[in-house]
Amino acid sequence: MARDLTPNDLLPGAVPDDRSELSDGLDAIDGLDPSMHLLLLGSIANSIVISDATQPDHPIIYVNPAFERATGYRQAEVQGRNCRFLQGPDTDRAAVATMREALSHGQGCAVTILNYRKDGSPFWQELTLSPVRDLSGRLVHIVGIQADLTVVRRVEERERGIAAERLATTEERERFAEEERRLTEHAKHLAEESQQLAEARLSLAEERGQRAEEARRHAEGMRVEAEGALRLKNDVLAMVAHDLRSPLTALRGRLEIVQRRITRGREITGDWLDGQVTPMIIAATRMGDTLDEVMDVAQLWIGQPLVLHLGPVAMHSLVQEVMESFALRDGAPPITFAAPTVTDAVFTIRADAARLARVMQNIIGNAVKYGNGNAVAVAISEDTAADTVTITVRDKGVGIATADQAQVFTRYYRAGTALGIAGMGIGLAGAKSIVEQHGGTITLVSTVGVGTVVTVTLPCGLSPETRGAA
Amino acid sequence: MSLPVLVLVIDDDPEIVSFLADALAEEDYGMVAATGEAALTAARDLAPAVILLDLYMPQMSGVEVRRRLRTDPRTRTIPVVMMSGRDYVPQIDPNAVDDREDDRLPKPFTLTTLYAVLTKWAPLPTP
Repeated sequence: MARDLTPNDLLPGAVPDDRSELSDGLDAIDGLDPSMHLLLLGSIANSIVISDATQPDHPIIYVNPAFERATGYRQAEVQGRNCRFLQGPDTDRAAVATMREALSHGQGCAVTILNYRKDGSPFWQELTLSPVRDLSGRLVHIVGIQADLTVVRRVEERERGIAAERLATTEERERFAEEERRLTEHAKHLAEESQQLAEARLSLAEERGQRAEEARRHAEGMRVEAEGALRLKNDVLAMVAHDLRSPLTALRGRLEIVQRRITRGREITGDWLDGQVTPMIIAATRMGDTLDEVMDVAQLWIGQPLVLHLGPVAMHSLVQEVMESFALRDGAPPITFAAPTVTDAVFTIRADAARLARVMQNIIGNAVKYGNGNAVAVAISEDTAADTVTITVRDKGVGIATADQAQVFTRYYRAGTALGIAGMGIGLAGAKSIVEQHGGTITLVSTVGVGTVVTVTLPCGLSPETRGAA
Repeated sequence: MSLPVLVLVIDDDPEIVSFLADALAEEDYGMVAATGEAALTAARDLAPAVILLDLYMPQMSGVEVRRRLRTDPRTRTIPVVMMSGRDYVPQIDPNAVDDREDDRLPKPFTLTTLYAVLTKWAPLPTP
């Protein structure tokens, strides 16, 4: 049971080296009338509790009005009780232990502790416990001074919360911003990738399309070429047959005529026999030439160069012979020949006569076939500086459309009207191959409705001495 | 002496014309050779016993010549023997009144075949 606290009880009993604030404070009021002590304690805004340390469990012997206001407990209610009734479920056990430990050693302490009011509401207090000793040094009172920290605490907590919230918000915002940046970056990256993929896909599709188109064109070209080759093969076979049939008919027929005369015992004079044998030789030669030409055509078809049999060739004579072979044919248009000189040596070149004859047959033959019956102009000239001979064949025929001009030198090209015209021919492609094999050039200039000019230029390929001797 | 049996050869190949001239002379046939319009004129004016007609000719093809011969009353009845290759497919104009070909003499033909065809269409008078 706690006795009433007298002002004397409150006299400072601290040992000389006690440096507690309370002792200092009490020292300061030392010398005042003891009744003033209680007035002072009563007017202090902080809660003050004084316990009797001389009795077991340190019962409260005094609380000031500030305590009563802060806790809701009246002095009468708390007197004689230990302070621990203020503690509650959330009171920090560590803080309680700190106090107990300090008091058991007779030392003061300061803790921040959550206590509970009479109505059960918690409040934060900054509790300072100060031991008060008598002159002999014995612990007699414990003075507890409590500052209500609830508001401070709340403010602190709120501030901490707000700060934490702010921090969290800021961090979160930053995190969000970062995430957003990352996502934006990622989206941008994805968009770029997708764009690149789309572009790649597009270019792939385009490439595929182009390849398909190329393949289609290639296939179409091959189909056209194959069809052309087949058509040409059939045409050429028909022409070969035709070209061989006539001389064969004449050759065999003449042999039968001779045999018939022998069988019938009719007169065979030398002149008559010569009249039969000579055309037979011509027919046989013509058949041989046709076979040679067939072999050349076959060789040129597969793009193989011919084996040339080179020798001195008088070009103007060769051209004239070819011209005459056409002029002899029925219905042939007039063919004119222009040459600045008629000296063999000037136009003699080193060449394959039979092959160049085929070239000229082809070119002059085309001029005759497609010349609309108009005169064909053949000219030969020489370029001494370049050491070349040039032959031009000009017709005034239908001409060849520009679009078709490139085609005329391709293999298998043959005008649709070629059938029904005697002679097989090597084609312009074959003519080009032969001319180029001689180191020469062949060009075609044509205007629709005006006519066509084919120009063949051949290198002489002979030294001046050889040329003179030829 | 009676006029020889006349054969009109329409062919642009001098080698064949020359051979036929010699071959027909051996059997005492008379022969005229021509091409194009001249051939049609000859057929009209000379009234040959038979016509040997080549198929492939640059100015006027054998098919065209035959068609023209068939449309002219003066030449319509003259037998026409086509001298063509074995692979020749007859090109008969279905709209023509009479576009027949009377016989074939595919090149290369033998002298015996030639004489046989001539004897069939233009027999020589027995001596």
